[in-house]
Amino acid sequence: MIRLLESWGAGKGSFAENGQYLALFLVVLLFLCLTEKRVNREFTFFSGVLVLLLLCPFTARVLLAYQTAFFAHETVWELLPLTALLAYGMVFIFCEITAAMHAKMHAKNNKAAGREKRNRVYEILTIVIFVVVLFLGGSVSTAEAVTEKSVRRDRLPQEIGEVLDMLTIPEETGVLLLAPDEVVAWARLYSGNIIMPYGRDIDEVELTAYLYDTYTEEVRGLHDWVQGDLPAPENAEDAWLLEKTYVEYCRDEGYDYLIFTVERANNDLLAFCLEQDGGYEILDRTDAYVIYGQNKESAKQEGL
Amino acid sequence: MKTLRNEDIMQKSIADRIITESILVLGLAETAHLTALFLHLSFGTCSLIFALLVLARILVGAGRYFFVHNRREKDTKKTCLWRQYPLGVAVTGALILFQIIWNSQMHIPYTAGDMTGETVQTMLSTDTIYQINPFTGRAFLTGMPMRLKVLMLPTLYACICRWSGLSAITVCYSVMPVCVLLLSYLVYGRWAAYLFPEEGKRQVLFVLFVALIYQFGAYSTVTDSFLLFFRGSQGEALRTCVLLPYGLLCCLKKDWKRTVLCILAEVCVVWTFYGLGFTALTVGVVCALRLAKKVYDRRKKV
Repeated sequence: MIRLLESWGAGKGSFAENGQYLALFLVVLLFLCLTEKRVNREFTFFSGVLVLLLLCPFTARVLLAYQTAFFAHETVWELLPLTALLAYGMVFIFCEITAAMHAKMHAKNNKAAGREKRNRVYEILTIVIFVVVLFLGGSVSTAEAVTEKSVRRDRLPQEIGEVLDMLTIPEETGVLLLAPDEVVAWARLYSGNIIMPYGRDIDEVELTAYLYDTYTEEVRGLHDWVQGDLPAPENAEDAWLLEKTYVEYCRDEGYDYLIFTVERANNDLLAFCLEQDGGYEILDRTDAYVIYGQNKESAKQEGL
Repeated sequence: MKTLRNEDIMQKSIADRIITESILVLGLAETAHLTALFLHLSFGTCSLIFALLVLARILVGAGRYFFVHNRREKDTKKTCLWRQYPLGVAVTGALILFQIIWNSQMHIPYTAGDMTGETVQTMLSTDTIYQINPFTGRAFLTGMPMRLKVLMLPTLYACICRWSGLSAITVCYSVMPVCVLLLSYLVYGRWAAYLFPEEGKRQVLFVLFVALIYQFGAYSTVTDSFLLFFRGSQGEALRTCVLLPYGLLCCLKKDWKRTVLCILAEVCVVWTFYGLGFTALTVGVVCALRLAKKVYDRRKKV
């Protein structure tokens, strides 16, 4: 019961978040219900019933179960015709206000030409007030949070696009790439010919639920190694052995490119192991990443 | 409850036709997608089937237009909102234009909880449908649930990529979100005509307020505004901002053919509970309310 209420509360909170449109919706709904003007009663009544169904935790739970119960509680709030009713109510309120103003002007018996002009000014002022209400009631904070400032023409983040541009990707064979999460997130969007051991958001429940495939411990270890998240061994020899094992693994598996963040690449042990192994050489670097590519000469020698 | 029934409301406008045709395209894409999926055909073949279906639809549409439409009587009068309310239309248009530019160019794609872009890329590069893990590019070990395999939006986008030569990222995160945004405005344009028949000024105001609500409403990940601006290529945006309001509108207008189309389209684009999506639920609630009103009125008479 408590869990249900918590889930319902979180869903409603997530829907309302920083905005007040739900409150505005309720105010507008109340206005439409109380007004005796020519209102579309069926639509208003439907909106009222739906908001009641969504506000009651039990019916909201039933609606969520209907929508497979896989999604979060906030998803059922998409049912609410918020945009339509809010706009509808605002037009009605606007008309009420301007009609009252017109009547007042008419009572003052102003000249027709001046009255018309003033009416127009009042209408524009009323719209401005509505814009301010919508601006204050809404918010752009969530949008701001998910918007990256530096975006390229192809819609990729500038930094990641630069790194991916440095890879040579043959269409026929594709390339095997091992990279940190920020690069992995965009690699498969950049090209379908990039093949990786793991995809973006390796730990995101919602995404992994879309596929039956799961990642093995080996792949998770590889991910943590690239990220530099593996627990550090107690002595230097074990640490060196660990780095060496993963570098050899990458070479044996035929990874064409290894990308590390500058901080990770500056790790002396990793740099030493990559140099000693000889399977990879630094191809290029940006301010944030170092790109290693297969050492062609070393690969040839091995082939011989 | 009072239902507005006016000849003007019932009349099908160009907007209605565009929305209906868009929904029909979804249906055709689903047909091609399912055919390819169950017959284990390549993506190339699927794209060809879809192209043929679209072509057939265009031919049928053109035939109907020339042989049926031309024989009908022409509309008696048409009002031009632009001439009557230039300021309101211009402001609304400018706001929508700004939203289109911002939506298609000025922010990185929001990919959390979605894999449409990767799936499209995978289809294009491997010529397969749902056989390769879109996150890694390797063959599936276990696979993908059937409930998701039946969703056809990635196939539709991949077909658009193949026909137009545009990249997956452009189609998924620039072109399609703009199409969904415009469709959404068309739907609310129809809402305006339904709620305020023969009241041009109120109709313009209604669409202006919708544009403003979209502009400032992206405060939560499930609001219409956020779905349109950040998740426009996802089925959820199409459902919430086009199919659901249009389905409700058609239901209120008792246009059952289009209502059923919306319900079916939702099944093709979003994972629903065995085909019973939000649109079906909305229609169910409206019908239940109508039934309750009928019973109440009958008892009142007795």
